[in-house]
Amino acid sequence: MEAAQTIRLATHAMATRFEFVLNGEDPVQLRAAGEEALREINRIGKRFNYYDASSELSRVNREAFGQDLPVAGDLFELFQQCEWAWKVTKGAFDPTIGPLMRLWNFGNDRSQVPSQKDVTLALARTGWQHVVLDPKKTTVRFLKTDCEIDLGGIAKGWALDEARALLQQAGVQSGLIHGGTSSVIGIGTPPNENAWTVGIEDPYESLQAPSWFEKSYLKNAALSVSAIRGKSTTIGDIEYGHVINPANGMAISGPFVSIVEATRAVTADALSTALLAGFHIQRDFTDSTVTRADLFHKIESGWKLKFRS
Amino acid sequence: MFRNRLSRRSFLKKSSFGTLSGVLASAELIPVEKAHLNTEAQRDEAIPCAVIGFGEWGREISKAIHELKDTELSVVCDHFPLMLRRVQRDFPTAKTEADYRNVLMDDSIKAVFVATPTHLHREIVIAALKAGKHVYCEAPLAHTIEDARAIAVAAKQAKGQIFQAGLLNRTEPQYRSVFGFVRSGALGKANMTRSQWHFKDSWRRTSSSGARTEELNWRLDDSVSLGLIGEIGIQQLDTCMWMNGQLPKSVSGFGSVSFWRDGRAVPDTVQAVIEFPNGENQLFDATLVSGFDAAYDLYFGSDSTIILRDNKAWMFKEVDAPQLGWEVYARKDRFYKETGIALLANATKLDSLGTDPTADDPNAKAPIWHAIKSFADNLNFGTLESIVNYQMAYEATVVAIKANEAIRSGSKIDFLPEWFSIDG
Repeated sequence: MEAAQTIRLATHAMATRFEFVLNGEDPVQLRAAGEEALREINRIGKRFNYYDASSELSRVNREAFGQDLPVAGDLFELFQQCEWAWKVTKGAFDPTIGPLMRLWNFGNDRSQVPSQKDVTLALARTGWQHVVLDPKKTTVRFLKTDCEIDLGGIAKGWALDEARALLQQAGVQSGLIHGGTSSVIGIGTPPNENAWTVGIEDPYESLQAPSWFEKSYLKNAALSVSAIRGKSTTIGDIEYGHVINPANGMAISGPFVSIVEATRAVTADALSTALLAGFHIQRDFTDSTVTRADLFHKIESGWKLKFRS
Repeated sequence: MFRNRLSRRSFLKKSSFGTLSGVLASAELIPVEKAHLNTEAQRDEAIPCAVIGFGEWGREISKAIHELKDTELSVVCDHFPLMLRRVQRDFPTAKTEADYRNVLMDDSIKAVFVATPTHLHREIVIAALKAGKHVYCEAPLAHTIEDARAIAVAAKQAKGQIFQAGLLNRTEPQYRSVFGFVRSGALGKANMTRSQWHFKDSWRRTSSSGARTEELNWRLDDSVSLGLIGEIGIQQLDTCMWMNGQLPKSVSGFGSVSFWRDGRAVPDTVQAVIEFPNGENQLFDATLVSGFDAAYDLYFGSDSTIILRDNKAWMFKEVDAPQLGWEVYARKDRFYKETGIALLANATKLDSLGTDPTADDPNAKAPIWHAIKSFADNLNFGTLESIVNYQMAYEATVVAIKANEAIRSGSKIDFLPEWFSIDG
């Protein structure tokens, strides 16, 4: 038997870096498998790009009001996944919150929190209850004229799941794949190890001295980590993150980190966003494919587990 | 049928066929006298289409057929079960079929899109034409002149049937717009073309099945592959021939396996010079080693140079070039130390609709969408001579085959006039 070899591949898609580490006996075949999966990630990134007016998703956002708009089967599956996550999180994960996101305008300077009136107006335009899916015809219909879907909170996980399927179809049995380091899948295990060990960085420590405040052990499983650090807006002394509670339209503030492990990355992505957005109040959630759903809060003495589903 | 269909008759009520044929004929040599209605088919429904070969490109073709209201993706055919499972997932309303002969026996199928590996086109295309189907065949037509000629002859003989080849730039609006600029003399004295295609990728495919892996890697099989210049570069070679309005005189080529040394003989890096009788030669290079600067075409001239990339175009004027007038109002983009004047294919239309011509075009479509739209329009409102007909496809295929030969032998090949004749 030939010795295991490791190859690395990467691409830029969805405004972030996707990276694969693949183990196997034949580096040529490994690379070919990895390249196919990366091409698929790029394809998904283009098709589901909210910001590209000519993408399939933008077409849905323009044309789905008032008509049953046929969409490709895989996009329909992703919409179904959104619906599932919206339901089980009691609306805490909601891909229709675009009007609220634009109102908060994260990443840019704001001098004050949006007015309650503006928040109420934006809230009236959001809500997955305005989206109707027809599985027989694979169509989508919006019930509200200005409804729109932004898959930003879930598309990376979806793309990684698709990549994993292609890699496994090509015979890859061991690998770690991630998108922007916040969505990760461990395929099989590393050589001579029981699981892929992933360190979760403290987003409030300096980049010069990274430290792991938690670890995740992945074997044929996915991990998603969400924090409000990165794309945020500071108003006064409060840092508001790019996650919004769809129940009241308010951006999340405070040093929180959510960690979700699940069979599928798309599930982990949706739930990690939902945990930050306010899903932790729903303590009755159970799902056999979700093995960990933690919300951490940083206090003076360090990270404290605030909620564990 | 749940999609809104463009009724052929309702279209004709709203427009006139004369106008349509004028549009189709405006940018290329479409025989206007053939712009007549085919009276036998008066369809109000979408055209039932079949795609044969569900590789990466077959998937894009299927997607475009699915998106278009004029066409319906009825059947997708691939002999590999995994691909058919992917079809069922991507396009749940389409039927799947493992044997293309069953597709051709299905009378409900009017149009067949052939997206198999190049060396498998001949048998399928000729059988499809004999079965009375309208055929869209990917470019290049074939890996040998003999096969390409057989396809072209069959297409020529199939009177009343549409044959369109996948030379995508000829149906892409931005390229067609630039074609008008070039032909109207905007370059001044045109002097040369430089085209490149750079993409970092091993070009190797894999599968859990050894036999399937071998089948998938036909591009790296020296006996059937036309290499980078044939499988990819044919689009850019054809564009230059179209813009130039001439067939080339000779081709000189170079190639090497400079990085992907995995036992392949097909070069991962190639260069070619295509010589034209008017001296407006084309320099082409392609590589799988570096992705830097991706793909584009540069058309140089004494007054200006036009760059085409990602289905967008800009013009760079020489300081002593005459004013064209309209450029004062055009959008300008900086490229290092140069200023490019954006050439927008539909700027006037967008402006008249009150849309900012410089913003993203929400109706921007992939080149394959435009190719299939052109095919569908022809079928619905023709039959006219294809915008990309068998002769054009055959000529481009001959150039690609000979360019690949020149690259493999590191030599210069003079084109013989009889090579371009489908009658031999």
